[in-house]
Amino acid sequence: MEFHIDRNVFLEGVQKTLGIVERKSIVPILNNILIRTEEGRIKIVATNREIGLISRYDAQINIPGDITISALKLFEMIKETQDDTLQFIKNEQHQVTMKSGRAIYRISGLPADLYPQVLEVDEIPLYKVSGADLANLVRKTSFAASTDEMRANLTGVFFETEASGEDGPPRMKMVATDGHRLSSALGPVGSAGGLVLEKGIVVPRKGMEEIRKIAEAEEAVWIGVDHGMFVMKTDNLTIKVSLIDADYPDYRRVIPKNKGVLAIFSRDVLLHALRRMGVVSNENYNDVVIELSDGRMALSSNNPDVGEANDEIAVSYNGGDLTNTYNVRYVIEAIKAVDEEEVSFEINEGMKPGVIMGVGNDDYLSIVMPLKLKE
Amino acid sequence: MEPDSNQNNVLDAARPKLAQKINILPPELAHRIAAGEVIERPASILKELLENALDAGATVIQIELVKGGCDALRVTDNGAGMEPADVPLAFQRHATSKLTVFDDLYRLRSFGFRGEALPSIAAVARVELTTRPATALGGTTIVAENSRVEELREAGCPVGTTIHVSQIFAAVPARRKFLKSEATEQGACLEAVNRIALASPGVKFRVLNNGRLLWDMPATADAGERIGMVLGRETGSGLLKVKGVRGELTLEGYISRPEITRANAKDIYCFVNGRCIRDALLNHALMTACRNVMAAKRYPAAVLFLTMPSEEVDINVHPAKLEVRFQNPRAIYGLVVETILAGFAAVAPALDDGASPMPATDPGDANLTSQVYQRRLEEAVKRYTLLGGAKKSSYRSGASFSAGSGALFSAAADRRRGRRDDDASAGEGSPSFLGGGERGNLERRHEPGFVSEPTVEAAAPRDPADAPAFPGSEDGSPRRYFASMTYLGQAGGCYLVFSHDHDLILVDQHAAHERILYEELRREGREGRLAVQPLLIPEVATLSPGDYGMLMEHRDLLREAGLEIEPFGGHTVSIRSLPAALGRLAPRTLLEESLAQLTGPTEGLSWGEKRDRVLISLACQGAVKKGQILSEAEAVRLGHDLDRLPFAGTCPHGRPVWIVLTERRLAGLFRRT
Repeated sequence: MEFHIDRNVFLEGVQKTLGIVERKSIVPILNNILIRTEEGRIKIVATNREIGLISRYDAQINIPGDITISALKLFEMIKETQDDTLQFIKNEQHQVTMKSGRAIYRISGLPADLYPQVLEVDEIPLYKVSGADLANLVRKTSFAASTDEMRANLTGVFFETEASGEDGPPRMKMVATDGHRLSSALGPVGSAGGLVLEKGIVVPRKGMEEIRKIAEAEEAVWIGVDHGMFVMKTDNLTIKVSLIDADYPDYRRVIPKNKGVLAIFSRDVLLHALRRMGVVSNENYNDVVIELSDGRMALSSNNPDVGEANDEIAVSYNGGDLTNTYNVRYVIEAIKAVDEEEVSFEINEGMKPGVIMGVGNDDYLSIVMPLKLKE
Repeated sequence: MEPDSNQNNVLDAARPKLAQKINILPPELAHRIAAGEVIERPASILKELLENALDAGATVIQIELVKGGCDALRVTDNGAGMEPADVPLAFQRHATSKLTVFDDLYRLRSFGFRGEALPSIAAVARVELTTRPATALGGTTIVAENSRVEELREAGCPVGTTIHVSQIFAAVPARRKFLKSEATEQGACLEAVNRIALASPGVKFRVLNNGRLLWDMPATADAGERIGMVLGRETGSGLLKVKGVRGELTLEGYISRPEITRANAKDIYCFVNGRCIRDALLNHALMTACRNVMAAKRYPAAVLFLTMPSEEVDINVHPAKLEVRFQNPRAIYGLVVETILAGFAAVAPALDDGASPMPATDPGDANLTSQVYQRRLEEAVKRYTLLGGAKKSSYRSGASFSAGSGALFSAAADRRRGRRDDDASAGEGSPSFLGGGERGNLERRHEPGFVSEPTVEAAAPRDPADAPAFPGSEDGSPRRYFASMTYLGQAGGCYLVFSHDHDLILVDQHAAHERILYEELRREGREGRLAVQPLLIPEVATLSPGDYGMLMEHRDLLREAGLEIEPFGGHTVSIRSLPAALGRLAPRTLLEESLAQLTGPTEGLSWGEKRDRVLISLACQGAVKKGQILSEAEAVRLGHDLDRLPFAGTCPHGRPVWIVLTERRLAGLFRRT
């Protein structure tokens, strides 16, 4: 096996696999990616059994063949090379020699037939959507998904399509929650590109993040669902993510209907104030007391282990005075997902959730449960 | 002699066509059958009555409880009924329709045989029995109280038997005092129904409490369907059917898929020839099979039916017939392990392409596994034989167990007691690094086998007396023990290695974090500022009736720990909030683990002790696990947190948090003099 390839193309190709292959798997081959030559190009395959990636890059093939090799090591090697072109050679003992100018690397690989198979996707209906739209929805929701594997259904991002108005073209919608807060984002009208999901699907958070990274850089991508997999294609790459086979909770029920006290803030001013509270607040649950009174919002955080923080923001709000406690990390993450300059924070009394939205944008909302300090 | 024909003989004897069905046992037989206390709580009455009903061939059984069975209970069946002539004998001790000669004892296929149930019940309660066999036109009512027949008359009634037991323990105030809350007793009664219902899917059961229908289980031909009714639909749909035969032994049953696990062994039901038993050997075999398949310290839900010739099992070792002796434990152990492993193997592919990142079982492991299996088998059989001897003698010595409640799991109690003694001696020998308040804790929870070794100098850096009241308080600044150390790295995915002057310090990361979380939860509770995270989407959990009762009893206690629970109809609860410090964990697991802490021998524990148990379990779940890779910052942070604690020498379970290898000790190890 021997080929020549553009250094930057190769570097970018390998980099895309780093989020997928495992770093410290006890099964060594799962730390690897598969490289196989094709006519005038190489194919790179990466998988962790949950996410599969197949990508292709132009290369000059001298001798066909295939090999698997540590993704991380390969990436680090390519990164430190300086010539524009790399030569990649594999011998019979599965040893790889990579040359860049006069620099030579040698590294051992494992035979390709040991690598888990990632099937090509063909002949399933795919729908063209905007890469930016898709990436945006993931960015605005995935942070709220649970990290606890015991609640499989909440560790994913719920993806569904919603008709826009009466029989309008469907739009994409994503929702994520960890049981304490929830974020929901709706794409522009027609953003689903004709894709209609009868019942939403639950895509693992990690897979969604990989999809976001790839979609971000693309003008258009093609998406579809096949055999329990969410599939996204670009010109030279296919990524497949195993869906979580579990029912998603009825999230619509938890979106509060009655309005609390609505306060409008500058996004950046509020973010900074909250971050100042976060410095001292308890690192497990980051409690911050928010008090609305006399036309200002007072923030305070008190942690016996560290100290105190206090701040005030002038704010206009409708309704009476109000105090509640929140996990400041949840609030910060919800506000960071807002693109608008102004944020509306609807604070409710007692155990009722707070609602965060961008002013003038009804397509994104984040709900945060308050914290209760036992007396 | 064919076992089956014997079974028929015995069962035939129960059929109504014989006029004289009840015989008085010969006295020597009465002696050979170890008598014991059969009745300790309403649930035991219920169990005896249900077994009688099934022995009578009932297909519909209705159970009515008053105040969870604490006041009264009634069992109505449509079984064979009793001939008027037999009725007066029913309350005589050792009157049984099921056994005439001692040798029959070893071929028993019916549930009851000692003739103890009704007389024992009548000794502690008022029993009104109304019965009619299909052959008779009219029925008979008999009332017995305080072991005396008070009344005997004819009565009009449907075919079958109705037994109404009231004034339970009225004559035994001491026993009555030991009854728990209504909810707990009701849970125990329902658990008794569970056991019977699992083995008799063809019988319809209805359970009412205070006139309200709790449970209606229609008859079904499919044992799996009945399991679903009993253990909950979620579990029922995740069950694997297993079957294995070895000679005359047959094992059939259901076990939960490996991903469905429980926090304790409560949902493991083993039946031997239709009788629900608890057997250490069977449990051991089951857990051997589940090793490596299920997460550590998790248990499957399982319902296993073992069928074997009656001669090969002695069911007469326990008064409540909860334990048995097998003649050939080895074969049974092997059968259980192999059958269940085969069942798991059948689903392995499905597991593999699921989300689980776990590598499929490596075939190269096979040898190793069989070695492990052999070792565990020998260990189990050995323990079984040893234990068996002790157990037998303690039952035979009879009188000492009349207290009842302890007798159920006396073997376990013995073991505990033994362990405790070990601990006491270990405690004496161990260096005094325990703060006063923690000492009791340690002694109680000490793991066997942890005896402070001479190679290890477990040490707290200072006298507990000069500890600050709690971390961060203005008086006394926090210790700077760990803060002054150099962090070297993590070994074995579990031990953080520090150096301090010339000493080497090893910290168990899980134990350390557990102690930190525990102190934090306790401190927040004490200062009345426990942070609680209400849930946006309350988590709904379906519990077994027993758990439900216990949960309702301890609701306030759990709320104190930040777990707010509300009844959600039936045995379902919704979890409304979690302690905020553990907010990222699954609410249901937290609840299950906390409940597991409250089951078992909790009598005599004060409210505070029970709360501590729950807090310990919460801390344990929230703590970093073995195998979790910690960054340097995290490791150093853990050390700082330890410095701030008033006491950090051991984790709340009593294991040491850190050990110090002094320079001298190291020199000794390297033979430097």
